[in-house]
Amino acid sequence: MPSDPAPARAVGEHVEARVPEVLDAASPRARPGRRREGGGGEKGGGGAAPSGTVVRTEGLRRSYGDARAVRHALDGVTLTIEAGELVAVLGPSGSGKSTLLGVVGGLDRGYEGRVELFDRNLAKMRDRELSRLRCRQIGFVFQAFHLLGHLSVLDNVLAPALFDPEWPDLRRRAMELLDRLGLADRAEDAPGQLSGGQRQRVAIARALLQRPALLLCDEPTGNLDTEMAARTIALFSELHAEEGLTVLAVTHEERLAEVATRVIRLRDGRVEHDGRGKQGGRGKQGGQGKQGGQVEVGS
Amino acid sequence: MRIGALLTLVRRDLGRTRGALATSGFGIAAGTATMIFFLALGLGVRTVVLGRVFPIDQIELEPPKAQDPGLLGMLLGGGEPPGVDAEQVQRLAALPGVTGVYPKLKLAFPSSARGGKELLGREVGTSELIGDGIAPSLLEGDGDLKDTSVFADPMARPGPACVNDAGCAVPQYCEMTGGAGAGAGAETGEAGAGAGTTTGRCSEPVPVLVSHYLVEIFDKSLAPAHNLPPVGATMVQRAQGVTFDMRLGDSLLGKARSGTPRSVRVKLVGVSRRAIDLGLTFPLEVVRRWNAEFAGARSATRYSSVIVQVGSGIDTSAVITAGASMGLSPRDTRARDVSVLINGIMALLSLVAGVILVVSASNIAYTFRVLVTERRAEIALYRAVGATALDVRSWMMALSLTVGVLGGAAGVVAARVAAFFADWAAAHRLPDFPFKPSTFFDFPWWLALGGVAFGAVFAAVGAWGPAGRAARVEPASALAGG
Repeated sequence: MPSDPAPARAVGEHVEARVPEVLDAASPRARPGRRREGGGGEKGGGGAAPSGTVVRTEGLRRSYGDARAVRHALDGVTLTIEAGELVAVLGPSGSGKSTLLGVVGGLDRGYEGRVELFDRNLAKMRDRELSRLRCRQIGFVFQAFHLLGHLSVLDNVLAPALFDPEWPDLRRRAMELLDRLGLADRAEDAPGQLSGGQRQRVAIARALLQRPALLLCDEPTGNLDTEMAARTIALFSELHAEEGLTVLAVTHEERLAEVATRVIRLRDGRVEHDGRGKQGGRGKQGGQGKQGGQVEVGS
Repeated sequence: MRIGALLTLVRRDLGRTRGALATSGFGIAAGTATMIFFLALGLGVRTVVLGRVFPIDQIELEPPKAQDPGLLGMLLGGGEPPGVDAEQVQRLAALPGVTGVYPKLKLAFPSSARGGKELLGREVGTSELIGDGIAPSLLEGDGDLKDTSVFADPMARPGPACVNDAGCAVPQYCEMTGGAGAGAGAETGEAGAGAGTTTGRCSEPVPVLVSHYLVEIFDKSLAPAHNLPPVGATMVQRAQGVTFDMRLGDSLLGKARSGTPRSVRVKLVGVSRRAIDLGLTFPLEVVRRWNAEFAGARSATRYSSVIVQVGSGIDTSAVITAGASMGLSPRDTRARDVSVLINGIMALLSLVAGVILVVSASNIAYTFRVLVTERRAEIALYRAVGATALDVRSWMMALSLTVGVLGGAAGVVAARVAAFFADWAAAHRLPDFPFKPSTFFDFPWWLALGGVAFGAVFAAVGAWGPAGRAARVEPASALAGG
């Protein structure tokens, strides 16, 4: 991976200096009339004090293959994630981490069991409702960044606004995010001109554009070198701490677990461990070490 | 998704995928251009053929020709000419879709004319004359004659009494109504001149019309054969007012069975598609009066044919059927035959263009299939950040519609350019022929609009399947690289 050419500045200091301004601009109160649809209401979003249950799964199962050779990527996962938690989901490859993220994010609807997002049953939501929920309440950060090479950095960050029914003008918000993430001077550059770390920060800015209540991260440090991975982890920690953002991060990165309020370990599609992270925080203890995820966690 | 956001997506795609989209658009443009070119050609030819050669908005019904004794029969006094009576005219006028009924009277007696010096530069001698009479109202709205009031029976407002032409002010002549006599030519000592016992009334020259067909035939066939200058419709129009003498009741073939041959003065007032193809057309009342004088009262009251004007070609067959029930048949089916022929050729050529468009749609489908496959991750990302399946489908369809509209518009422009060059080539390369138009094409506004719409529709049809595939992309799988 290319090293990050961005100024080697302590992310923590950076965030300390900038967060309050961004939060002011990002607050729902700063945008009167802005609706929060999809069942989440105002909770958890945009720096408001988060509360309530954000994610709840019961007996979640996701299978692939046919009847002769079925494989359960998720096999009866039951868990609850409260607003404001920073949850690290760890596990070996093939343990079902990314599948869990896809299901919880409403990207994968071929599951069995029950999944609730912001107290709404995903199975009963129509595509339009679910898409609106993703647009306004959920931010995604992917290992592969998934930036659009034909667009500038700024347009990449603004991509979610295109699909907002209100098509809000969020250029100022986008620029503030880029500024906060140290990329304001690269706004008109193409993603191909950026390092891996910078690209991931662009992806994070895109995920934060709509002031989501839930940030879903799939191996966010997987394509980053050690230094950038550390910075990114610190950034998530700061976002969680300062904005009260609920973060569900799937990772191999043990260092992420160190800043998490809660750590869930998956193996063979089941919850192997679910417990408080080193940061403790608002994470609640659940049935640690219980196999099969049969015990509801965090409630 | 807002329209503005959709347009933003489309604009970006046009920029980054212009190569593949241009190829697809080219197919649409080629198909549209072919279709528009041939349709415009068909419409143009149709306008010329059906508008100027064989007008199809009118049907001329006449009694069966077998009953017509012909000129020889009339000369020999053998049988009465068949005709259409006033009651039949009324019944035809009452038919649905009929906008007007205009009876015609043929000259039912021998006549001849001489002159032509004013128009052709020299006298062309005496010629047998065929003629008919039509109601002046038939000319209204045609556009052939700017002032239709000049085509009226001059005896409707007769001048002072006279015994010969010398008693009338030029250009008037002495019309000997119903008697032997003087008339035009009295001064030249022709038959009847100097009889002096029957008085007439001074009259303006009788207005006559000639047909475009006659002018074309004269210019393209007779004039070259007899070394005469072509006159051309425009020149004839300019030559309005040219007068010549006409001999009633007497021709090279014989004399009328009643009345005394006499001469009248006629004046060319214009060229009209309502005029008889080969001959002269007079105001109806003039022919009625002359027929009564030279062929008997029956020839003045039974019309030789009747023109039925219809509002739409759809009503044509109903009129023909009604006419058949009265023993009347269409005088000329060439219009219908030509119309069917032109429609057939247009349909065939449009089919060719349709095939091209179908191929273009297949090309669009292929391009968009590839595009969707290449963009699975992008589509999945958009789904992740809030795009609905409908948004994705709309995005693809809007892109294809844009390609179709641009391709269709380019096709319309290409068709017009091709038509321009075709007209230029025809004007410079094709020999002159009767009714050769200045343009072979007709481009009504709806044709251009239709061309663009066709391009859009075929592009949309081609992209429909791939757009559906795009909308069904599984975001989780696509983002994972599956």
